[in-house]
Amino acid sequence: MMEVIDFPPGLTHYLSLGALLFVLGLVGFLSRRNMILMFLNAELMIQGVALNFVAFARHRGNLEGQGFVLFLLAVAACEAAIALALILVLYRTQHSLDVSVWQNLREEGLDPTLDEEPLPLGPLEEKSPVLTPAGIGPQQPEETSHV
Amino acid sequence: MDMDLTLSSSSPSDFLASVAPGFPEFFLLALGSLVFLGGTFRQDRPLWGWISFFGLVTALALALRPIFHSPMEGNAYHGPLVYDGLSQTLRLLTFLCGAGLVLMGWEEGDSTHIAERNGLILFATAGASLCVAANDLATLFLSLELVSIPTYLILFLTRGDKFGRESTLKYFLLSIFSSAMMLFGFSYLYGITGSLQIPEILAILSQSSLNPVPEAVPTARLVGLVMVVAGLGFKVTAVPFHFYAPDVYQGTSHFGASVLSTLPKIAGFAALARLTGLTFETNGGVFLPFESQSSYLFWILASVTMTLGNVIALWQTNLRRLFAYSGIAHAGYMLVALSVGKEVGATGALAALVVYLWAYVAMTLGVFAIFIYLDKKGKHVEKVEHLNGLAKTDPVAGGIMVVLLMSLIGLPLTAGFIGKLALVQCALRRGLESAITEAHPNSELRLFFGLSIMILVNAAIAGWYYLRMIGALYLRKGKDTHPSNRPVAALVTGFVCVVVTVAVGILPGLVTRGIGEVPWHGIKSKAGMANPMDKSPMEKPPGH
Repeated sequence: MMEVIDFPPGLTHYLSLGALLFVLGLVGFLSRRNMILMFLNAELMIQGVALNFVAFARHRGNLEGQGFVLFLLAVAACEAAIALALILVLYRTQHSLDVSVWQNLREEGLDPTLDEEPLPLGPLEEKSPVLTPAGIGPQQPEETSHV
Repeated sequence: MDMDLTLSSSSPSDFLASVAPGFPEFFLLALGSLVFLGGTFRQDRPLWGWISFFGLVTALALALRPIFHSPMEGNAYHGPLVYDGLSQTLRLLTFLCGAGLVLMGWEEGDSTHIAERNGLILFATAGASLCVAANDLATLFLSLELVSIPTYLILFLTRGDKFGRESTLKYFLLSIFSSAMMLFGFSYLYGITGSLQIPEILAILSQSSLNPVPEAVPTARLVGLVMVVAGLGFKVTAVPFHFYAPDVYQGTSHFGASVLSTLPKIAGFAALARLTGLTFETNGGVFLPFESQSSYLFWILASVTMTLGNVIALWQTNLRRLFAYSGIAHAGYMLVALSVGKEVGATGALAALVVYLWAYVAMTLGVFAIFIYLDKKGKHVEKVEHLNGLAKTDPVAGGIMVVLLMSLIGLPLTAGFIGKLALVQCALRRGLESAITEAHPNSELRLFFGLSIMILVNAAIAGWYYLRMIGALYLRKGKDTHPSNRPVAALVTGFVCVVVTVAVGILPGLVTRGIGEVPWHGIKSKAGMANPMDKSPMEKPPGH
């Protein structure tokens, strides 16, 4: 029989969890090189912030922090949309999600960072079958009527 | 300020009254949406160009009407938007900057997404303009994102090759990373004070610096300050957070670089000024929301930023990369104003910041407008040597460029000079006043005298690379003759920027209305101390 733990989590616990999420995201952002995972780590940082806001809102007894979190989530969703669109375009040009592929811009005379274990390239995109453009009717000889 | 932590009891009509002054921005947002919608039917350069341009001019005219910027009775500190002197002058700057961007891009880039690009400029302009007036953390965050998100798309649309994509990727990832840092700081500021209203947060923080407070509060306040400065430091390219700027500027087009170097910086500096309490009215008392920690933090940022930016710029050959470092250096000068702060009654810091921001935006926008003007399909203006002999082949563009470069160096009669003079004055004042009033005078005196000397030395270093460009314009021989069909709109933008630069340089009072004067005179001698400071440090122009 497990003892039911009567242990109300307080502000400190929420804040610790928020800070933990934030730091995990930060470390992940700085150490990952897969573009999607980098973006998800940034999102993790934002979730840590959201937890902080909600915990503080409860602690302070007002709803301003809760309101802030709603805006936060909406903006995070916007950024996710842009991120996925951008990453898709980038993947199509290089067939890789590795950020270290993108090193064309750097200080003059500086060598690119060499990746010892590069991420495997993704499969080349298969050519999707091309359909006849819809909406264009086949050319037909003009109807002429001789009445 | 009372410590009432319950929900503010404002009624919906109060709320409407407090957001009503933001009407010009809401108009721009609506117009931007219309332009987006229209872009699905037509991609027509002149049509969307004129609509966006007239929209921005209308917003500018609306913003000048007193009804849209008069502070609300009793509402001034509780609405989401506040229209004080800072927001009025920077709002005008933002709208002018947006109109300039639309004009510059008139014939630039490809036409396939011209409606979207103009709509995005409208959005970003509205965002920057809301940000300079933001009075609570939620509005501040949303308006900063309203600048950032259109900027990502502009970066992507304006240059489609691999360099453009790489710069978009770098800017996008680091921008959301910095937003997350700033938000973490916001959450702690909210947690300490229980409010999202910036004036209330600052008031509570300054009280708690006087009264005994719980042990955790100073640490949490420091975490909040550092995180917020880190996040906003990215927007203004302060040095540890500047790494993206050279790469992104180089990889994008002239147009993308001009957007990046103006709108986010206006927004970022306005946000920093508000959050450090520069705009906050005190009744003559000492106002220390972050004790003196913020002052020393900005001191370090300012000195490192301006020195590193200028020194690395000496080696650059790519024009946009060079102007990225030049922008970093100018951000360093502006951080001086934040370091001087408001602690010992140095009231001129905000005015100095605003003058320099006007100067910086006018100069940078003008330079990029001339680059766009010179840039032709097939022959890009990428390197300094591409400017060779411009004064002969195209005297008008060459002349505009020379005036702007002189302002960037900081020669008299230009805004760049008056801005640097104001910043040096503020730093000297801060040093002297703290020497008179504080217990440990010498350290502060040395710190801020050192800062003002650093500005002068940096102006001299910067003179080298700007003079190299002036040399290329006048002394070198160019290859090509004056080509026809260059975009006149970009030239007009450059000319307007020159007019603004000279006007602010001669009459800086034009842009500092309502935020106090720059203290041109020395400090009032207290304690019988003779006025030891005159304008001598800047009598001879730096840069030779």
